[in-house]
Amino acid sequence: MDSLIIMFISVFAGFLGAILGLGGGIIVVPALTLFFGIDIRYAIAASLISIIATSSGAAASFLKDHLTNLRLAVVLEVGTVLGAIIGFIITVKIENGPLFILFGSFLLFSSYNMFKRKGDSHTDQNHPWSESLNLHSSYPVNGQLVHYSVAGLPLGIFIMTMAGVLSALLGIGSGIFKIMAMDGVMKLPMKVSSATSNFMIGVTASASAGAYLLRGDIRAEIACPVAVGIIVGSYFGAKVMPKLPTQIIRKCFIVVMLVVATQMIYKGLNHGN
Amino acid sequence: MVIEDLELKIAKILRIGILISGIVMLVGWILNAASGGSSLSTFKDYDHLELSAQLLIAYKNHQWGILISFFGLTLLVLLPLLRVFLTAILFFVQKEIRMGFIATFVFLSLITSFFLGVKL
Repeated sequence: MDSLIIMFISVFAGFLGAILGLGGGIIVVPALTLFFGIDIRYAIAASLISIIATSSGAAASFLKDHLTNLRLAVVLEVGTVLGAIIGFIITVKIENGPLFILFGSFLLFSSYNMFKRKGDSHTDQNHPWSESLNLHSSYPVNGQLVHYSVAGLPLGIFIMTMAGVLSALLGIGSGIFKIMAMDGVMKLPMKVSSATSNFMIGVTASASAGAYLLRGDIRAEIACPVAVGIIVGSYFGAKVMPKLPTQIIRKCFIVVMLVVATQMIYKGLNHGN
Repeated sequence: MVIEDLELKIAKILRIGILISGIVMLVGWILNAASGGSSLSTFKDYDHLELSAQLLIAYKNHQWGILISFFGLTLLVLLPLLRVFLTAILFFVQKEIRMGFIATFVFLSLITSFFLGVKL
């Protein structure tokens, strides 16, 4: 019965995540830990499975729109995968309390980020590495192709490494940080940043998910209902998204995230109990 | 054919892979639930038990639902690896040697990350 409830919560998480452009991890991890009292390590491991499912399943859509910069994604995956390896090593050594505090802080940051108005970046100046690897590209705007260059590649790779660390530590996709790096540092257009970030998330999650799986932290009784629920929820969420008042849902979700963030931080300060 | 079109074909293969792994996980989950399964209270406290040990226990106890579930989970985790591997081959075929080596590095890093789970 409990695993059925987990499945339904995961359907909701996948549905809401697809509407709001968030990964399921941001809902799944707090639900599993606060509602079911499951140890945060099992929750994080299960969350990574759901992230692989949604990102890999949607990769074709990201490519079809010709927004994803595939070459840049491959280069940046060097950073995210190395970061995920570092993150997994830290997770093995860290206590539960700091994980809760870190997750709660991440929720606070995500709430702030959802409020912030996002402008569009652009540059005509390639970083020399970007020039050398031919990473600049173009994307469709109103039926026309607009060219963009890729600046700040080394710093972008560094931020991707940090995003990979957080992904492994918290069981999230770290899409927010990836978009920050691509938009703020590499000066990519927002649509390209978003599509490329979503395209990469599955590989990032896989890096630590494989380690968690062999270590035994991915428990089938938890991960399977989570994965099935997220796949189903995100499929329907993507279908209805254009018809829903996203802004109203987003504002309600920000309030919920703030409440959950407070609870996670409080739990962390009580040493994860 | 440009590399993005070829990568789109790979992504569509991934989508089928996700569907297959999802069905396998669903079957495993249902079988496990039907045979009683473990209560979630088992997972309130962390207990390190390697995958190999879990599989051995499940096999000895004839917990086929658990074994099938882990098969589905393994399929799912390996799919992004497959994508990166095929992307590396694509780059080499298109004579983009540097990008091919970068993708190969990502692939080898992913393999290494998996075995950290056994080491640590």
